[in-house]
Amino acid sequence: MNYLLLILGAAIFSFGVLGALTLRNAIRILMCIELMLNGANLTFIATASQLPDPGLAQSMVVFAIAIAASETIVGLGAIVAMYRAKGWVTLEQFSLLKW
Amino acid sequence: MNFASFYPEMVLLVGACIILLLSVFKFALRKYVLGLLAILTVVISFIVMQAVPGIREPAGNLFVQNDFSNFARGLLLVISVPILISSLDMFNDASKRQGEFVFLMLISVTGLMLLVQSSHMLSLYLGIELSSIPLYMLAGLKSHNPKSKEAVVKYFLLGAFASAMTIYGISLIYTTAGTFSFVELFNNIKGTPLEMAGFIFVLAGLSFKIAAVPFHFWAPDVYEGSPPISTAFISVAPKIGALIVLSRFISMGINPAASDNFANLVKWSIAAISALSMTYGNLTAIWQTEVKRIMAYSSIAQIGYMLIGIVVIAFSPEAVIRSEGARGILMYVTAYALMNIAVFSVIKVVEARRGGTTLNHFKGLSKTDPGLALAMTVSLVSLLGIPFAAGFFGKLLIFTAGVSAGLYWLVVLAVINSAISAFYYFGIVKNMYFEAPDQECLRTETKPGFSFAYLVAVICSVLTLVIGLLPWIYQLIAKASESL
Repeated sequence: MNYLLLILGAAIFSFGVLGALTLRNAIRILMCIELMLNGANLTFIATASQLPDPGLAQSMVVFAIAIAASETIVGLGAIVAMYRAKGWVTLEQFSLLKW
Repeated sequence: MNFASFYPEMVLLVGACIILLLSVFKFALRKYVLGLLAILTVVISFIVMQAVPGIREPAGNLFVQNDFSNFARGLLLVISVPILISSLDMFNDASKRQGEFVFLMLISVTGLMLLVQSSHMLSLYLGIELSSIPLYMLAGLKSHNPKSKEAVVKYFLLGAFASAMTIYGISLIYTTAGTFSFVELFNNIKGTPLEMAGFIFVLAGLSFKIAAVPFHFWAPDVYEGSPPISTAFISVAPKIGALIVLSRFISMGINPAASDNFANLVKWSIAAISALSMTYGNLTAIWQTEVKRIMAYSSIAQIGYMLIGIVVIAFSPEAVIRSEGARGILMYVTAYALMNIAVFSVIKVVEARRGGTTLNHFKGLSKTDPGLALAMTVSLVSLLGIPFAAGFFGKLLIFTAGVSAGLYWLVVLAVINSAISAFYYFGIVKNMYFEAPDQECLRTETKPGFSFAYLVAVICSVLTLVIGLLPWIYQLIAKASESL
């Protein structure tokens, strides 16, 4: 098992979680979520390289990247719509609904 | 891979794309034409699912098709019809949004139909994402409402966070089990710490989709901020998908004999989520004054009851008790879908006529809108589980399954919680029947015209009363749950 890569994946995922939970800017949270996804992808690749049949996990990574891209598009669209309406995207200023 | 098995999903996809293309053009009665086309697509998809031969053949490693998954697919198609009908109220005729709503909803239904058949982590992840990305947009479709914008950003950020957790959980399970397929996981899960952490992450992601404690915090805000018809869909459809796939994952993928640690973790984590959800949901709902928020907390409590079925499946290896649990889930989910669609259709009409949905806006509804008040009462009574509405039979099946599996503490807790929920359900009923209308709220009342949501509310509440008394639905559910 390629422990170094697994640990790197876990570290990237943890940074993403930490950032997503502590940061207050919607765009930055979005970037942290991307980090979380990439941590998962790295874990897939690290495991797949040790297995006789790596194809399945690698195809999972391709799917995950494609899905992450489409998710980001939707998210940025929502954030831009909110920015146009209000002029800010930080979560402290969410006033109409309690966070 | 047998592609004939996926004709219903293909019909939905093609129909959705045609509707999106048509919605670009301006023509007379565009809103109604698009809505009708969408309903037609759903009906054709349903007929194809029932009629085309060869459709129930196994479809490779990624998906499993049996009576259980087919019941869920059928249910998803059936519940999308009333939502499509009441969506005709949402937009005025000049707006392009009707086509967008229909498109997003059909895509989401497609994703959920794939999700309920999935027997593989890849199809599970794809199903979750294909169903939830359109849901984020559905939450924000009423663009002029500032609350809607906040709701969609919140829903999106938390939802993306949850699905990132899901995929990291899948990758952790994969590191030591080395496989994605549920059937192979049955033999390959050894109960290593990595696998246990992975299961917790996957469960966290799925709990987010069903809004169970401790991943419920998006639900009240999103339910309040989104347009009510979108909320009806958001509150019903993903729950069906996630519950079905969770019960399949546990019945197919977890070997109770292989590892005590892992099996115990699965049992007790789901039991804890179930107990916490119903208690937290009910205790918080009592203090709310906004009916949408009450319904959000009520749905958190309802998901707690539904999870008892999954706990039954996790606790008992015997196939008979497992199918009893599955029967409870299917009946409850069917009843819950009808009741929630009725309630949110009523909320939609009240919001349109009285300009808001706090308890004050519901005061004296029986005087100005007796039919609406009656539909709301029937649905609330059914959510509470009073005989002989559909919700009663759902609760009955779930609780008997819990007793057969020996989960007395959970069933007792659920019964106590049902009693607590009477406070806030009857609180709404009391406001509708025994209070004078609030003049402040009546001032904004518009002239009552014909409303599709009204129609849907009446039909769904009548169905709520009827469906528990139809014997064929029990035969259908019994047949479906045997093939869990």
